[in-house]
Amino acid sequence: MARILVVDDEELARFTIRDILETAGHDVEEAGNGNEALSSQAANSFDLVITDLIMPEKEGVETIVELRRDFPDLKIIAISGGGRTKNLDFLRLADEFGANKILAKPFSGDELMEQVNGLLSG
Amino acid sequence: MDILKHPTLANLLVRLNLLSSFAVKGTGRQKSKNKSELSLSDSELDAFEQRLDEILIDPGLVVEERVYLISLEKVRDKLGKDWSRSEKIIHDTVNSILKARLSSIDIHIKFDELSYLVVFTSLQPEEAQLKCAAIVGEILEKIVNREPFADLMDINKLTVGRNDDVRIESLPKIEDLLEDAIIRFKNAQVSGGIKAQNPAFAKTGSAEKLGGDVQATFRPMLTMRSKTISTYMCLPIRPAISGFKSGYEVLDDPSDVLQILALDLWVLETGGRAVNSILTEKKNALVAIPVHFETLANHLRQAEYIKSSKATLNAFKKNIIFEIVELPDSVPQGRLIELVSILRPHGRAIMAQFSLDHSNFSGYASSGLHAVGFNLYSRHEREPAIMKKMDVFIESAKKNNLKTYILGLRSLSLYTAAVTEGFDYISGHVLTSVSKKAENFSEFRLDTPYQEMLETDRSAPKD
Repeated sequence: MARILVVDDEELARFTIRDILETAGHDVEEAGNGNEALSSQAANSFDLVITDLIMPEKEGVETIVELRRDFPDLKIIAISGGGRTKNLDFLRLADEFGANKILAKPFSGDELMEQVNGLLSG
Repeated sequence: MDILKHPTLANLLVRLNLLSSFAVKGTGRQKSKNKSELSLSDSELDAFEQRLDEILIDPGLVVEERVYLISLEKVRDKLGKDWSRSEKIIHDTVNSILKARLSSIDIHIKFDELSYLVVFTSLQPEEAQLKCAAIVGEILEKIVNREPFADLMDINKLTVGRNDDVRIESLPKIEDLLEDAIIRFKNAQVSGGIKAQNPAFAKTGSAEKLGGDVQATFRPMLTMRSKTISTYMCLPIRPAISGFKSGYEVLDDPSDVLQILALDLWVLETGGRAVNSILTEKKNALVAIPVHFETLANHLRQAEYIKSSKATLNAFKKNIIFEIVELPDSVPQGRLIELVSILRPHGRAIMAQFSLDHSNFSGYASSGLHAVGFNLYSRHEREPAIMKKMDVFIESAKKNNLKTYILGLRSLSLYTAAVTEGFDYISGHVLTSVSKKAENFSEFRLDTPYQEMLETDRSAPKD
């Protein structure tokens, strides 16, 4: 069982991911944007952060850079639907700037768990 | 060389001289005759005259004291029997230097076997003389491998007299020419005579109405399709204690429509000079010029603006984008369409800036507008609210086949939202700094806005 932080500005997205992870037995917290994520990670030392990229106030790539700087061993999965244009360029940037795994939305519960399990067992 | 034996040149010069009075008298041009008397083929001369027509169609473009004839006669005499062997290389060299040194709106033509006619359309007379001397110096360095100021090329400045006779002013040695040009240039700068490279710029007198401290800054705009900085938005600013003022705040009295007109005319001139510089430096970019709805909405002010636009920008309109700003929320579509149609012929495209709250672009599809957009600089609400409105704005614009732009991107989160929402053009200090002049097209990498934080990260001391 791991402690996982889910970061997404959309409540429904957070709920869905939380449900998948808790069903798998993990302990899950939520954050609505990058600022909340950084505060929460500093306070709680999660094993894994799953973060969306397109968020207000502090978006995902910036968040990943800061998380990676402050928590070098933290496992990070970046997720994104690419917005209206399905633009996945920022997922590629996330990969380049410190995410351990990237996952394009929409994804299935199995696809998510494959990435989570892969990172937590490694 | 006896230029007066070339009536075509005389006719061309008559046309050039008539040009400055063309707008006033509306007199017709003389077509050149006796083409066969020149060594140019008829097709070469036709091409030249067509080119001349394209350049000179703007009655605001003045070419007096900017027409030069440079001759290789002395070079030929000096080379003697070596001339026939060297002739082709020499002409190739001269052509390549002229092409490299002249701007895209200057013109040049090989006039006969030994001379070239050059028209410096974009320079003041002093600058034209200096540039001509520099070009001749460079040619001599390359073709006869001498010190640049050797007296081996004739330079003649051509003007047309009162009776339409062609007067030829044979200019002294190049070194004297350069010295004289430099002195005249400096004198012109000291007396404030060189305000702009196109004399048409000096006509509106709008700078005085605005006061002395209005400045221009250029904000780069990114075209998302090509990932290039392609456009520079010419923005008037005024220094203030806390930074600078922009928009209406530049004016002493923002409700004074004549001040608004003066500002618009000043920006028009400034934008035109910016394009002129770009083209003269053989760069390529677009310049966006804001114009207030208040200026366009009044018949008299609109007429003055359009007249100035024609005079100042006609040679550059392929590089000009107009942005209509300060549109009232309630402006009827028909009225906007009418204003767009009036402005459209004078630039490459028209954009219109709306409020971020504007949510319905039905009926704008056939307005003639290229793009609709908004400016976030003065929006202070929280980003979640801004992003929701961005979504609504772009959805309606796209439904009506309008391109979209967003100005004032101030955070990475708004940047990623703008890109993934599909805005066609984006701008803001999170992407780039402003610059004092419009620069060239340049590539833009999506990760550029992150580089500063990555650099900070890399240079931060490790624990």
